[in-house]
Amino acid sequence: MTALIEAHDVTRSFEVSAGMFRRKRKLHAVNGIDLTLEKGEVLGIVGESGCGKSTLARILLGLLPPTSGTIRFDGRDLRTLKRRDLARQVQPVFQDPYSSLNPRRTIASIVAFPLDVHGIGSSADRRREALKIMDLVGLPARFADRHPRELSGGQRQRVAIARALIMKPEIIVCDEPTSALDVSVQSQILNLLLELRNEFGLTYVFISHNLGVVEHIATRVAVMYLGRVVELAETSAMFANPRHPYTRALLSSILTPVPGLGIPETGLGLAFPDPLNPPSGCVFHPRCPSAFDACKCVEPQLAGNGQVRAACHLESFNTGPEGTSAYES
Amino acid sequence: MVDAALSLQTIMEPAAGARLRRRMFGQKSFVLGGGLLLVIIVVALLAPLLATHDPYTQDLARRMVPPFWYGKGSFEHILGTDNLGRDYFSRLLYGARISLLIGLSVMVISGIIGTALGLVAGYFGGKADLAVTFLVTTRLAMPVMLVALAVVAIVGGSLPVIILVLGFLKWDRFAVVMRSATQQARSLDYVAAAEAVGASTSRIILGEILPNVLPQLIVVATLEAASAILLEASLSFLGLGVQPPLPSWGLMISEAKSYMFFSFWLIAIPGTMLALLVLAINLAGDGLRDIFAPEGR
Repeated sequence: MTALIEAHDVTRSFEVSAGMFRRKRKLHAVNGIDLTLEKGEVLGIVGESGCGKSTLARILLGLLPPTSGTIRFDGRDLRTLKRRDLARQVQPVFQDPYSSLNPRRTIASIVAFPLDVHGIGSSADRRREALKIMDLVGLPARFADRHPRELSGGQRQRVAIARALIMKPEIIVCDEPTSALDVSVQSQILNLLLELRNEFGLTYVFISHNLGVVEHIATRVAVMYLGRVVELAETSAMFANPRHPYTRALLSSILTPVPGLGIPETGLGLAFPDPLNPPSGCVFHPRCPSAFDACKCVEPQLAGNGQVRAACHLESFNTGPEGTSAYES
Repeated sequence: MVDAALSLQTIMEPAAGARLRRRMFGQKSFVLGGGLLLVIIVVALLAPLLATHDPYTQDLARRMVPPFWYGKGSFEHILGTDNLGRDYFSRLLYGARISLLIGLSVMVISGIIGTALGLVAGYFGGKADLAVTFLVTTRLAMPVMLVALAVVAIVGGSLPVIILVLGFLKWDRFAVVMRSATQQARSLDYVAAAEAVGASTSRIILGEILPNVLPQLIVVATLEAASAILLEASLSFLGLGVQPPLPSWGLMISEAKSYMFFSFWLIAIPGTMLALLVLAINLAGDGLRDIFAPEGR
């Protein structure tokens, strides 16, 4: 197994100005993330809105350069890679299929556009290839000359997947690919993604705030909070035994189909901290039910065994499963 | 069963061309404005064939002949003659050419400048945006009429000078509208998708963004063409535009103003034509916008 993506200490900050004469402040959307992506895996990235998931996705796609840190694709540094070479390795599927397809183009030309940009084949070849990929993602050929507005949300998302696939990339970065879709269509798209993964040996980075979806599709999950990865674990291990208090709160927030239970209580409170002015120490401590003094001053690092790692002081004090009882009361 | 399904589909999906045509003819303002504009364009193109007289030939013996519907008028000069005895109908036809030429050329010149600036500012943002915004503000600080008058007074008025002066002055609205439209389009994911594919910047701007801001461009272009025609008329009226004996409508109005109380038609006819042309262009532009972007109504 070779690592397709190795990200080391990736940080992206934005300058936020509150007005012409105010001092500019830095917002760290992504703050010191270490990640590896192995071939064939599905890395789920979860977290609240504003935690930096989408910024991370844009960095991995080469749309935003990281402020610092290094990312290697197949051992090659992102900064030395040309955009076109990167495009052959990583392709996106965006959240909103209503804005990710150019409304002026026909479906076939949207799907064939990457080939067009890379100058692959004649225009007849490209169309043939586009129809082939469309068939693969379950789009009938009669859609080829239609425009996106004539398609439903699920069909549009299939078009977006077809466009991502046509370059035969190794990695597909899905930024909440199902959250804009009807529930009935969501599972179709998820299953399509899984089928394609098996067929082509694809690797996914799957960003979502829907834990149910992530549990269904991901092999490994990274939980993000305020631009940091707070827990990184195999999916089954994380859902069976979440280590970080934030992960536990997220898992308890999953809505169950049992009526009468009401909306679950997460114990987090409502206040999402100001990303411009993050809390000291462990960024999660103001909302953490088990925070103690050290959490306010010292920032915890990801710690734990290879399968489960969490950035929590409780975790680093009690590495290993036997220590969990100390704070699971 | 199969046949029924097939025929149903053909009913539901008319060809793109047929759909566009149906939408165009369903648009009353476009049909009216476009029709009128088309008539004026055809008449202007066929002016040498349609004109009953040479527009420059003076006949002082037959000055100020009224149009045919007056008792003293005749079909010899359908719309009468002007103060130098030139056939008014023929002059009106040739004047349409000048107005249309000015409207179109100014629209193209200012459209190219303004659209390029707007696209660059909207796409790149940051310093490019600041620079373009500064240019636009500077340009807006100069009154078009005043600058045009000054330049014409220095260089001398002629058709090419008027076209260039107006063309280089009237790009501001193109730039402003294109900038905000581009900013909007740029934030959409299809632009990010094109970037992720490795498309070049020029390709993204011209192939992905420009087609999507075309409806706004068309509206501005028509408004600017109409306003350029009016500006030329104003300049010619002030005597600093197209020079006599060229039959510009503004010039005709200007020449007629001294006879306004005695020969009313001399000023009413070119004035009406000017108003009709501007109305036709604006109506057609409005209609076109609705045809290209029905969702934007």
